[in-house]
Amino acid sequence: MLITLFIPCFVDLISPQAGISIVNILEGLGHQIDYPDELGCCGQPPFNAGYWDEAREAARPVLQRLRDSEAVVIASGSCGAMSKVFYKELFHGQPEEAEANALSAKCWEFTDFLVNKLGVTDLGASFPHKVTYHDGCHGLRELNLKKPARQLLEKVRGLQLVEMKEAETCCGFGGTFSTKFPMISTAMGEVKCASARDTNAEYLVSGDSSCLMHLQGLLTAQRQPLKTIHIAEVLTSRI
Amino acid sequence: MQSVVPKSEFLSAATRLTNDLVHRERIHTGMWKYYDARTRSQGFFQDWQQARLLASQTKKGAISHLHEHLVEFEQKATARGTVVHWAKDSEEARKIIFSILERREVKRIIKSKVMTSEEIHLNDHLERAGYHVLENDLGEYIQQLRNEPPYHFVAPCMHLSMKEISDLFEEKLKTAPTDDPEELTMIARRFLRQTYLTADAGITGANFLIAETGMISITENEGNARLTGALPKTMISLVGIEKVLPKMSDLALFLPMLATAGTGQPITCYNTAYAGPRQPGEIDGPDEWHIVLLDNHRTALLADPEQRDALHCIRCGACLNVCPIFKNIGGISYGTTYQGPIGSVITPHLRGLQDWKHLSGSSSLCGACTATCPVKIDLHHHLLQNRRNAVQERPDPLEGLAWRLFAKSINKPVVYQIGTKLAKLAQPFHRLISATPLDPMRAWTKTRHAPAMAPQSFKDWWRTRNTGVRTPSSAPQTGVRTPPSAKTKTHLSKADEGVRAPLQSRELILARIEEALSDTHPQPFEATAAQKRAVLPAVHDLVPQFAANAEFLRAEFHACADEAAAKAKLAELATKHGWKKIATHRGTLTDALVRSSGFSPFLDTTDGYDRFELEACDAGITECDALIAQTGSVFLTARSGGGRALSVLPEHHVVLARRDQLLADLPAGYELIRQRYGSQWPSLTTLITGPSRTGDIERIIILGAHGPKKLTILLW
Repeated sequence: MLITLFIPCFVDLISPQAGISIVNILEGLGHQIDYPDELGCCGQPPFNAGYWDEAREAARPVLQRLRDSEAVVIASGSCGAMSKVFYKELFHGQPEEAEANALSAKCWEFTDFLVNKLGVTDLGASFPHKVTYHDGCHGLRELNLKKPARQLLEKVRGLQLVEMKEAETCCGFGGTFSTKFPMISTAMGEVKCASARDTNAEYLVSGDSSCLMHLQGLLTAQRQPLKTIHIAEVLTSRI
Repeated sequence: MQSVVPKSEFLSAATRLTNDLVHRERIHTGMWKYYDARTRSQGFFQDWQQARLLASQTKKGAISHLHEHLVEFEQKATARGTVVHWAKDSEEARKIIFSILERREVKRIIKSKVMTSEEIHLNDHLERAGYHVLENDLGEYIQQLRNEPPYHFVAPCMHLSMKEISDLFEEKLKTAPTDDPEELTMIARRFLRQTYLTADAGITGANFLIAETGMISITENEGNARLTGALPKTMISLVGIEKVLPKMSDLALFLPMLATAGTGQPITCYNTAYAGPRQPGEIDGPDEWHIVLLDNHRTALLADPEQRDALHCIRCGACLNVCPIFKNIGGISYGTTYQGPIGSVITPHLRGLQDWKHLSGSSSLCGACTATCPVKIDLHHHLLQNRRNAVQERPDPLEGLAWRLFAKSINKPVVYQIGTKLAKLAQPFHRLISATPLDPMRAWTKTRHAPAMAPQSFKDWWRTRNTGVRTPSSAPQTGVRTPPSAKTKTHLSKADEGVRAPLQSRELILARIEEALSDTHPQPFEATAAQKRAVLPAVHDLVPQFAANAEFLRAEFHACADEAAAKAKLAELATKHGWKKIATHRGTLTDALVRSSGFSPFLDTTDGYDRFELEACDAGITECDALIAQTGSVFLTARSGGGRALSVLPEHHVVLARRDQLLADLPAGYELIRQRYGSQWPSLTTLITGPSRTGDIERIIILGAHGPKKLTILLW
């Protein structure tokens, strides 16, 4: 299958290894990757800030470029929700409405794509560590993706998954919310980190690099040994 | 600038409270207790998700036919002697209430929990006018003593520790300090008891308006609303117009859902439906009952087709309880009557978008609220819509410019490349000033390490890799810009209102509703008994299930072999609890068990009673209409239960019932009472489950907050 890969800006610049791992996994499964390197952002930041005209302007090239793709895989639950759920709202009543609906139907968040589209759960990975999993809110509640990541982690050799009490609680990132209301965002992140620490895990795994960027920022500032890692990197690990 | 005030107050309160780790810990602990209880109660339902769907469809049907329902409600309520008033705004609502109080020469007022009165700042106005007003919900009472608005609209003082409450009572009521929550509750009970007996007027809210019967339904645990509805001569209920449910039988679904979502209980202790003031032949209840139907910008929200579903809200508070923002900043920070996600959604509609838009901004949009809402309000999407509407109405010039630049450049490879190169170059310099006051990213870096840019970006990696399929990039569309989606605004403008000035508020509100709903013509929806049965907790074995459910909520239940055994059990109870005097009404079962047993002395309330004498009785013995196995509840009315007060004023309530009165479930209960009373409703119908209780002090359950400390059910 020719898979179009959408790499969000923060994956591109801050955690490219997550994107590289996704390419390696999908190619390893015998698929071809189409990567539109001119795209940087799905338009979620201005959308969340209330600037929907600007969000549409940012999103139009995305709609256009992905129009002919067979399947689009997005390396983030949050951007996945934007393309799959919120574009429909953003372009409701607009000339691009049909295009937005068409994109929604063929968009996949990465773990969902592996498990529910390709039917793959065992990638032969091994990662002999104790980990805990953070459910990104958009993946969990907009896309209803509680299971795929766990089905994938279950098959990783040596990996021990310990669920934290606050697994489904927001990490506090929320895009510009994190800088417009930093005290609330930080408090939420602290709750999350404390819950992750309580599991004594070595790694905090997630399918959302943006949440991990926020949590790693807190963990580093607090000199905590807990490390964050994107699930794609876990799935490409070999001893 | 006036509009800055709510936001700056919000920011400073949020800063203070997020730094208060003790406070945060207390709220988190309380909410985890709630979460565990709620999860257990949801588990009793056969299908909670389907129940949510039924509830949301019912509410949607009700709201989209609001006009007809309110007119029907008014007609039915009026027919039984209730006076229905219509208030377009806070000022008019206060005016109506004041005129009733003046005419009735009221001096002392008791109030059960009334959030609408917080909305119209009623207490302030009453006190300024010289009225003596006392809140009688324990949490509200504590907040009133603290001179502070409710912290959480369901759990008003959840932020206080036992010690803080003890100190408060010591200061204000001159009581000895204690670390026993039961003793604290009893201090309040003793103090408030007297006020029920002497107040001239009671003010309540309502959880539901039942259109079909003209009733209001009040849900509570403590019994304070029941006493408020039983003893004062005048009763006033201030209710939002959106509280409508079409049918009484809808309660069979909504009552257990409200309890489950609200406090995690399978059902709340008292669910009381009032149908008018004291009716002919009844022994107690108010002479006059006034219902004030409050619009106060609700019709404006109704006119917004995107967010109309916010009027489905049953004020359970579930969205606050799961909200990570609420849990970290607490209820006081909001500065609103309704806190948490629902408050952030509706306050901009009730009090002005520009002044309150920061509440919609202050969310990570995690969606926990939407996922938990029992009536499926699309809460977090409404926060997004409020943000959009605020920008459309008044964009911020600087932020708007920033987003325009962002939109133009982010998907343009050249600009993106230059931007990221510059950022990479700036990074080492930024490290030098990171987290200092010079740092433009200080909002992030003050508490969080700045993310480091990877030496090689994904794009660079991809380009140097030279593998994979490259498709030529197509130029971004030069964009037909379409006008922003116009927010439908059908709400009557001020000018229109001026022209229509002669309209009375009733006609004005009904006209506003009609206009607001002119874009929609949905079919009415009624969940059938079978649909409700398929989602509500399953019932297999009546007696054991009734026993388990009643005992779970701390009622005492005795299934006796026959009348003689029941009689012996009653005598045993009298001895065990040392009853000196009991009260009862005349009826087949009470005659058989009480009269013939030679209880002496006893107070016969059949033709009326002295309230002080009734209050002094050790037990009130009543009959009932039915027992409900599904919830362990007792269904009684003013007719079957000997009036309004007998079952709630004495310390111990004893219910007598025959085996054939035990029904399987709530739909069966509502069907029975509809058949029995449908043409002539008693003024009170109540569903009692367990003794009076409160969890207002650190979520510790204490029995006998206001009503009976014990509930015993004898079945034979």
